[in-house]
Amino acid sequence: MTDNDIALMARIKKGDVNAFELLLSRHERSVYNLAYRFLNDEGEAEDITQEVFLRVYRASKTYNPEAKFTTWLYTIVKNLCFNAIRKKRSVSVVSIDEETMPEFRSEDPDPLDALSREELRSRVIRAVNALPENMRIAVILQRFHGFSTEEIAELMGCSVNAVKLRVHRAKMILAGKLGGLKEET
Amino acid sequence: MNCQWVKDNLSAYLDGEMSHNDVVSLKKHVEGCNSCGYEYRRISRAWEMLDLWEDKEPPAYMKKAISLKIEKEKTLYWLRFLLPAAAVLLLAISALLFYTETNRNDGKDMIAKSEEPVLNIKKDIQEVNEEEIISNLQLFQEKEFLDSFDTLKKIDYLPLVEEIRENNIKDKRSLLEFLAA
Repeated sequence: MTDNDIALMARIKKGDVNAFELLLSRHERSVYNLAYRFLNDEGEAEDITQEVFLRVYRASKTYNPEAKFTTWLYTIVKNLCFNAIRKKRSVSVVSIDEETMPEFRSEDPDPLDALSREELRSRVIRAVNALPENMRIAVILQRFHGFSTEEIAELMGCSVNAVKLRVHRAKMILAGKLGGLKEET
Repeated sequence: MNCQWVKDNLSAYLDGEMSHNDVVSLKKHVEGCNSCGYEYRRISRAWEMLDLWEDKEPPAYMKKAISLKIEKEKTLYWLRFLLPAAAVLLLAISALLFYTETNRNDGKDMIAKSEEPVLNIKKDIQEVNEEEIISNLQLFQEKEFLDSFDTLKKIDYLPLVEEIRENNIKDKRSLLEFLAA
């Protein structure tokens, strides 16, 4: 896949429109879902997906395959998502404590009560979105996009151990929020 | 192997990042320890529950929107080169037109300037009095000329050149006397 992606980039560099459309078809869904899960906003996910592929097209002129293509591609997605979060934060009054100290809210049903599938899904989304950003992106990349710890470390510009620690802590938090829930039968 | 070590490594175990020997030891501990077993089920259950958050289908129009942006990008790419070139060309044409127009005006000015003295000369000539010019000529003021002129007025016949030679006329006075005779 990676070799194919790099070959496609070489074709795009030469002005091959079909190659770009092929690359777009191959990664559009994944890029969109990473942005959507990280930001939990369909509109922003659309904007970021469009911007990502625009940047890929621009970069095709100077693209040098030093890293795995997907690592490079998702680094662009991650950076744009973090920029979007920063922009949001500059106009938001939500405190950092509220984001980094996720707890069950009082209106949530009792964890031991059996919940509908839709309610469970909603709880999962809320729990993931309540994770601190560095944990959230690591969890999403590993759990939903199948990235290895090493790839996440390269993508995030940190050590492998730092990624392991973030994922481990995220699992503990998620276990606290979701581990005791059960689906109604 | 104690409970804390197991709890710290449950995540690695779930991710399949442990050595075979550690996996065997951890499994054995979890099966026999209620606390660690409960923690293992909690974490693995939460991790599995993430499956409920399925992929979302991107909007159908997004590919088209991206393609349009790329087309726009391409156009802008060429405009980036064409606009300065067009600007330079426009400047060159403007400079050429300006230069041509200036030269044409200069030519007209030169013609106008060269015509002006001619008109002045004509004007001067028209203003000159012929009698005044004649009266100012020094020749007409000399007595000898006036005498000669009076003599010439009386002459009815002009001699041939041969006659002058035959009569040995060598100066003006002799000539006048000959003619008067």
